[in-house]
Amino acid sequence: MQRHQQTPALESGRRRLLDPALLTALADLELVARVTVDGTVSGLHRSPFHGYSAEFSQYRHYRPGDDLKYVDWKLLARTDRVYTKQFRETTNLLAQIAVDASASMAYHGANGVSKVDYARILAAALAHLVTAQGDAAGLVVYGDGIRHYIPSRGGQVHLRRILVALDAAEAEGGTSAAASLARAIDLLKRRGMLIVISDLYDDEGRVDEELRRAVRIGHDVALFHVLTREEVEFPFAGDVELDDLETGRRVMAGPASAAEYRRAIAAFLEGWRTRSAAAGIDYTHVTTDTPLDAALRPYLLRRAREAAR
Amino acid sequence: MIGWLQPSAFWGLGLLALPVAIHLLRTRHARRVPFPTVRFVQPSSTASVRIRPPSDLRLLAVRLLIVAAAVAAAAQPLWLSPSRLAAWHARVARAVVIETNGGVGAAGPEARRVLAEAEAAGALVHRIEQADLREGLRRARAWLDSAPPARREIVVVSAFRPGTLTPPTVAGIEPDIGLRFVPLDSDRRSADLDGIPLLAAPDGRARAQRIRIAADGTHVRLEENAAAKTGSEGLRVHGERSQADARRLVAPLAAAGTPAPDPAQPIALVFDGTPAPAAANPSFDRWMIATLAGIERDRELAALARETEAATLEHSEAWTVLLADRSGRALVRAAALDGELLLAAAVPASSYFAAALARAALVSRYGPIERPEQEVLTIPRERLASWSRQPGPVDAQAWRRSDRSDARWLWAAALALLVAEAWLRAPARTRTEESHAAA
Repeated sequence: MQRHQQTPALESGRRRLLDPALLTALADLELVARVTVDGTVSGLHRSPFHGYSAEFSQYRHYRPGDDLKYVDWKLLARTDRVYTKQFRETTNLLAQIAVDASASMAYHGANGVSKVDYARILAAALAHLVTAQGDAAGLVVYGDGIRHYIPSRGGQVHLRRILVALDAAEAEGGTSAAASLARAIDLLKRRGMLIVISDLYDDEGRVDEELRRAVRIGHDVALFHVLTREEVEFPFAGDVELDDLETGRRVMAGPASAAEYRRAIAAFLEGWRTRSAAAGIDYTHVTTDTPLDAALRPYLLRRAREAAR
Repeated sequence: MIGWLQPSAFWGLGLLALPVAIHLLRTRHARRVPFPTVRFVQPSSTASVRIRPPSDLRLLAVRLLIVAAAVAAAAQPLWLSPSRLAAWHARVARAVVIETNGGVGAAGPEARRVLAEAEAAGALVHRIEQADLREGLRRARAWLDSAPPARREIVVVSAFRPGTLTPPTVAGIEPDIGLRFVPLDSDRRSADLDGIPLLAAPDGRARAQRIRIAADGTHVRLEENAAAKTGSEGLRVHGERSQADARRLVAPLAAAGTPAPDPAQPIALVFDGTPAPAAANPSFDRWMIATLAGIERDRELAALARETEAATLEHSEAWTVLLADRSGRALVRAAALDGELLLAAAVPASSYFAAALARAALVSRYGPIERPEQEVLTIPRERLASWSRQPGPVDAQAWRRSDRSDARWLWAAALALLVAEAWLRAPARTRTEESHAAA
């Protein structure tokens, strides 16, 4: 895959344009999504999203959960190997974007970009990308339950509905991610794509179980794990009294707590990375100071490679 | 060498513990920070306040120095430099005692001259006006004991009559205190004065007494005064035979040299056999009370009363008993009537006690007969010269009486340290705020 050759000045300007702090300052989420997508997909010749249309694209090894009607029986007879036919399609993909809007997502870092702001832009960009390719995008905003559900459809009018819903999404209340994701998976009527954008501060086991179920059903699951730089590095030097945004619990943290915290959060991130890899979930960890293109491009490149295979 | 005028202020050094305690027990105000989740946070075992080593030793040192400087300043340091000691030796604290008895005193030319001289010499001058020289000297010593460091001197401005200043009084003054005596009116060799107006026989008319006091003796001359009132206007006897009784009394009184009565302060005598005035009452004027007190103090009359047998007096609440006879019965009692002092005696008018009572009453009414200020003799100049002496050197403990100290330099140092402390504190605060902002 090739990328357009760009001058350093142009690259630098584009980077600045995709700065989360700058993008969150823009009121027009549609513009933000377009800018993000334009800045991200330049150089990607092929659509990163592949559905199951009649236009044959490639074979890939059968994975449990694949629809048996796409198994190439003739090839199985010839080679004794099970392959599933993949098709390039631009209208048949169902993408469900699940955005976590629990209170913990309201936390923002030193750049003033909250996790929910970042998730909004990320979701808008992905919805814009999916819709622009003629696919169907849907939205689930959840916290302690599903707060907003927009079924997957295509078209610009539908995209605007998604953007309006994202714009209205406020981070508040507790989180019940496992139940909400279970419902979101059930709402996907056929095989599609589930993109989860969350800080994953919930019962890890249950959430992981639901995501594995989605993979087993046959959905492509992408997980954007959004945290702030402060949550990863815990930069508080002295004694601080931490106020849990969701539970209201207060904990006094001293200098000794910082090292312990960093170890725990690293283990938390590594746990998600490992489990996701094992389950076939496309896992991306981003912090809110990561430029949007830097967050999206690796994922899209992986998708494109997958599509090319 | 440094002396401390208020060494008790060093108890304040205990305040040094304050900045140390502040640094050790500095309150850690934990900032409250909203955080997405505390599930990964190990709660700190530290309390919000805890003992920890001082974080800024320079700041602590400056604060300790501020407290130390303030305490030292409160202790009133005094640098006993050679120049300061020399200045103390050069000046004189001078108490000028001016005798005010007998019309002499501060207004006199000698007193003015002495005070002007002392002030011109730049001395610390304290002026004491006192009738009694002994009391004046006591006050002078008390002032010198609290006067600022200097050589000490007492200057006595007085007529120096015999008895006003005695060798024991002078010997009681500390030897380092200089003494100087300035005699007043020293050229006076004689004095003329009016004596006591005396009762004269046979009509009781008063005679003026002219006295001349001189070094060779005292000369008394009696002058007849035709205008003088008769004694009967100030002293009378109650009863039917009052005129005769009064005349009988005047002769012995005049012979004994008795002060003449005063019609403005009349005295009436009531003797045995004469009824007491019914309207008599115990409302005495001030002069009456002084007269009655004098009669009571008269030892000769009291002794005579103890040898006298009194007749029985009729009891009355209006009368005040002054003297009792040898049996304890009331002998002399007093009352007042229309501004007149009534003295009732339970003896006949012709008795010796009656005359003694009349004399005691007139002497007591006249009051003390003293004219010490008219004394023309003085303490000899040679004796005064022998008592005179120069002020001694400043004593070793004189610095304790200093009215000023060098505390101002330490206060200035404390202020400068306060500025330094603020300067040191500002960057520390800025650093803290920056770290908070970064967090």
